[in-house]
Amino acid sequence: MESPDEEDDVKLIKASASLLSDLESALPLLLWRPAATAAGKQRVHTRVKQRDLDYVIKLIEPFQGEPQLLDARLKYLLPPLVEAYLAYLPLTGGNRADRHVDLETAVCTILYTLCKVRGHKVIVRFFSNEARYLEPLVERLERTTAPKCDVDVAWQVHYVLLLWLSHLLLTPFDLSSISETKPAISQALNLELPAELPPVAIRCVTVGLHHLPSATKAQDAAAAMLVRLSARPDMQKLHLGDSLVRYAIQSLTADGNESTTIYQQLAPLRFLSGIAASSEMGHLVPQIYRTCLRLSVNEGSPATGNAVAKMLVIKTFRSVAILSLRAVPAEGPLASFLQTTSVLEDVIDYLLRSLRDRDTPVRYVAAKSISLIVLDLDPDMGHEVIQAVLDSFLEDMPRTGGVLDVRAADPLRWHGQTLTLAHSLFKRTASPAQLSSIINTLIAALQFEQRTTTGSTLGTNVRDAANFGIWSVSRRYTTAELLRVDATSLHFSCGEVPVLLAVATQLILSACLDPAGNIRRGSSAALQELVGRHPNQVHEGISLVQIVEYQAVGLRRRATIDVSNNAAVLRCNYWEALVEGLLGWRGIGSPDVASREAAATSLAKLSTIDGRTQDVIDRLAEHLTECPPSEAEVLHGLLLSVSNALDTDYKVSTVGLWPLIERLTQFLSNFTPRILRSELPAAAAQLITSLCRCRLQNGDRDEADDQIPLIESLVERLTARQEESVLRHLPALVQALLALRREAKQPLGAIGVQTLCKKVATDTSKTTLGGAGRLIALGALAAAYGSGLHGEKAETVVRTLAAVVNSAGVDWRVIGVRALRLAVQSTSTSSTIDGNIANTIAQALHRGLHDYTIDERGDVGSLVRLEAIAAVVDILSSAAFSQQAESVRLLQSGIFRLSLEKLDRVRVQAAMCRRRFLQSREPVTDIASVSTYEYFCDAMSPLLSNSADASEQRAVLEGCISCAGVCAEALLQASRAALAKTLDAVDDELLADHLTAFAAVLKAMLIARSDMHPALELLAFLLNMQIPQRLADTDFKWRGLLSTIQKSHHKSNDIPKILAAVHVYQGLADVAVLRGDVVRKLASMLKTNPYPRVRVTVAEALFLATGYEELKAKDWTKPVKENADVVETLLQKHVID
Amino acid sequence: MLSILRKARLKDKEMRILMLGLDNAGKTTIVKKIMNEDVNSVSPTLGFIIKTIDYDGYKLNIWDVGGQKTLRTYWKNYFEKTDTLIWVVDATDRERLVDCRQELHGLLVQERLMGASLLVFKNKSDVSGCMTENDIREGLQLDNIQTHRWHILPCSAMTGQNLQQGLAWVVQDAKDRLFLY
Repeated sequence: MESPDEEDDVKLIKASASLLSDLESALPLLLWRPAATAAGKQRVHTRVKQRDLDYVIKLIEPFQGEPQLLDARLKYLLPPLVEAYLAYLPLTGGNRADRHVDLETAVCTILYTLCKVRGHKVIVRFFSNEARYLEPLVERLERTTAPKCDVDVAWQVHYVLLLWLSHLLLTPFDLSSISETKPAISQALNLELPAELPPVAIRCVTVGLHHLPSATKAQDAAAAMLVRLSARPDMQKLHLGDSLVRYAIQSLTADGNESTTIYQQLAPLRFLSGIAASSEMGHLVPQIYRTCLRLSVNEGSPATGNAVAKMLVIKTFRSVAILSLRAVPAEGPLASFLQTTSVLEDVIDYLLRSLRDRDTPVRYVAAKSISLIVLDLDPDMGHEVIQAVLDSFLEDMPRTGGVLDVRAADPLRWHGQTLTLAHSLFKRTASPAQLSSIINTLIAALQFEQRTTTGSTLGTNVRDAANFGIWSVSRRYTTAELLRVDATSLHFSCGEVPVLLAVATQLILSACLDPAGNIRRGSSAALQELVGRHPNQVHEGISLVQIVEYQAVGLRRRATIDVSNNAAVLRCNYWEALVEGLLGWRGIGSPDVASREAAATSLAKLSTIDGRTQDVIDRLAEHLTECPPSEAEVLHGLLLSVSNALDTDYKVSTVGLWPLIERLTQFLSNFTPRILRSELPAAAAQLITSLCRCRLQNGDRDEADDQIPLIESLVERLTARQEESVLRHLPALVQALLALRREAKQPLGAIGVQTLCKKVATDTSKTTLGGAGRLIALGALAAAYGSGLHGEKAETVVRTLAAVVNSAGVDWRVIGVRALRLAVQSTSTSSTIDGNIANTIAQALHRGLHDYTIDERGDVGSLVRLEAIAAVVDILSSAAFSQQAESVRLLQSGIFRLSLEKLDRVRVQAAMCRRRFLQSREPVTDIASVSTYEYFCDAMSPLLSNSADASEQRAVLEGCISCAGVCAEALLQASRAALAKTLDAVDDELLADHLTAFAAVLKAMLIARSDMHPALELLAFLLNMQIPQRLADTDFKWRGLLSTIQKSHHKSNDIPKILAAVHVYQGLADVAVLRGDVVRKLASMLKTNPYPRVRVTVAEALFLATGYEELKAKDWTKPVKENADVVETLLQKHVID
Repeated sequence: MLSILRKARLKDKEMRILMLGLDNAGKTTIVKKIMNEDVNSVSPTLGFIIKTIDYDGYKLNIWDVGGQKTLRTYWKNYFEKTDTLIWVVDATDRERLVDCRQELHGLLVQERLMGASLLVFKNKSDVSGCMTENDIREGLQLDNIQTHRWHILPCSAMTGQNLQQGLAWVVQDAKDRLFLY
């Protein structure tokens, strides 16, 4: 819907200079050998590297979108190519098969690419036109197409050579004077050629006919060449065209041969279409026409099925009609053909029918052809043709009232017909007298939209064509002509007069509200043209043009909300039109939720202009009463709009709205997937909230209070849901309901503490999330039951919620933390909190911060951690918690730990929290900013201080295990570098503290049976950096550490973990007190460990620790027994002493 | 649809020309003079007007944009982009020459105008004591412009001096860049 690739052309213009200069420097290298001697003529390469060719092609391809950028340089690019080819031509012959391409193929491929990008007509003009090349080219073509030619010649070669040949056929010399050489290979052609045909012509015909049925672009070139040849004056004298046309017609009318391909069938059509288009051979036109006519009515012929064939037939018909029409004033031979037959009527009829073709290109050609033929018709007939197009619009439109109803219309035909109108306006062929009906139709087409049963929409192309039409009308017709148009005959506009204003209003609607970006932009451009060409006709036109502009309408949301509102301020009628437009299919009737939300926001904003909220709400209410319950999407849009409009002004009268509650129960009687997808329940929740707030602000007491039971049952239903869209709006809803009940002095019913807590307890034991809404409701109301988070009720709530954080399902835990977060948020107004409650919350969140659950979905615990971080953010910003130092400290250490976590999205959230509340210097913006060396240094800074809280330091160490243990390489490097630097900077005493803490962490992990691999890797790294060794001679409890390490991989089969442990041992061997134990341990592993890979690593570690040369000589992957003796001697030599 | 339009524009030799400059530079008067309309009844242009001029087989769609308005609205639209810029300078207004330069250079760095050429019209050249072509050239630092093809012409909207030559340059420039056939 948005158009992100809008800037492509700008990019290309920027890049074009360097692309072109690269191209110009690459071409000579590709074509010519380095000059051998200064005086000698340059010689061409005979072969070209595929890579060089690809490079050049890649430089040309980008210009496809903006080919004019090439134009200025073509005169430098093309001559060398042509020259090189001509220099190469005499050299051809060698057929070495290797991976290089020969120069011919290379040049032709480049030339073809240029033709494709810039159009062959431009490129051909640079081809040499010296007649002396004609024969060599024909010869080359003959050689490469001969059946015994043993190499495959790329079709691009044929294409370019045929193009070139047709260029050379423009030569004014008689063909017979050019060459007398008879065809080298005389092919039997099954057609009669004129007897006196010069040999060169025969040869041209032969190669042309050979390539005509090909499946490539060579067919186009061959057909064009044959047409050019037939059209030569000397060939016309010989009636070459006659015999070729006869041949083509024969092959077309021959009984369908099963074996012929579609290209073989297209070939004669293409040729005939070319002959018909060239004005020189008018006498052949009637028979061509009759053949095509037969084909077009003949079921099963390509002309009724294949799109290309249909286009060729249309083009032929168009040429026939136009040639005949032009022949009339000149009394040409075709004049009588036109007058005696119904050719014109038949052609126009065929074209009109083609407007509904299912192939888009066919519709384009047909539409354009009609506008071209009309150009040559006399005005009366032209008028009739356009009228015919206009009339058929009405066929499938019900004429009841002024309401546009296109549900039954054929979108293909609408597209074709709108396009025809647009083209005839663009060429100014439509008479000003018809403008009224044309503009009426265009306005209808600008609003054309159909939805398929699968939910996709049709008709964007119709609206695009309508934009083009309106743009053209503004451009080609004068203000006076347009002012004469009778605006009262416009059925589908908003009753604006004069016509220019009516069109402008429709363009505003389309530019602001249309779902497709290019339609919005097209309408904005058409509006510019309309205002600029017809000054002082459109009210506030200049301001409009500046508001409804190209950039602004790019994003749909911005167009729907901001642009609409700015435009509506200008004039009351624009406001009126926009409000009605937003109520239609382009606004709250959109198929997607985001657009309906934008429309609802826009409507609410519009309602504040001149204080017309009541007016807007009344219209919405009216729509609501008419809307059937099955239209879930529209209902969603309407309810949301009412709710948003009420939110702008709670004082507004809601008298008519309360009965809606009853209908809501009807809409939400069951939650079908469609209803849930439309987010209708969420909109209902928002509406009830808004209504309750209105009721609390003003006094429609009686009516409102009658509805409370209904509201309650609705709330009960909504709290039983778990969809995100519903959950988002529940807190506001239950809070509003609570306030309402309190005021009415009624019991709380379904949202009472006991009711909810009981249900929650049963819900959370299930695996499905049904009833998640009740948890959210509890959280949102936690502080509202009593006064703030104090007292029994609050404690019950918080305990219930905290228990959920312990439940088995990870999804429940996420919801539990979220509900706790709501409870925390609900204390925002109070400055105190009960200590016990605070502690319960903190403990629960602490558990959440430690949730490392992994299942088949991956690290699902991270969802809990993320939610818990968000809750901590709320706690740290709440005044009530500031007195609960202990709880806060517990949670802070969690944040310190998670800000070093390896999972990017968790780390970034924790870092943001740390940045906001705890001392931190590094700015946190995105994932990249929390992955740098500087960031990690900052995050580890608590380790530097002697006075820092021990639990905080321990948390940092735990975090380090995550980011500096096992994770992505880049992260590992940054975090390890930071850790090494940090520990280098602390004194030995503090290091001892840290290491003791680390050992304690390891021990705790051992007891908790968590995965110790990362921790071992980290320790191995530190030992490798010689950091713990600084304490070798202190009273640090080395043996305790060693024992933990030994236990960590006891009987483990996790090889990476064992390897990490071995690396730790290798480092620990540096410590004198442990050396003996370590070597003994390693030696025993060498003797007993069942994994060869482990033994190899152990042997390496042992060698590094002892320097025992024998270790090197042995193959440790062999069975243990074979090497047992080496281990024994090693033990004796190194452990005993 | 767009590519079809683009081709049609090339065939019909249509161009889009933005006529810009500070207010009171004489843009509208130039357009009127070219269109042979009465030049004595020009009041400040409030917004913009589009006029088509046929010149040498080319259709020049001139967008005359008011001097005081935000311009970016007009640089490009869905159907066409700008081919040529005509920057009109009031040769009698020495005081605002610096303003004029800043505006012009601000315009030239806009991406959406990158493909366009620039014609500077030194208007009101019939008034005695006005700035010379060199004054303007230096004052606007035209020689520093690398990104666009540019040309400067002294002209007068009142006498019609050089207006046709200006269009001729525009068309010739287009022939060089845009239309090969």
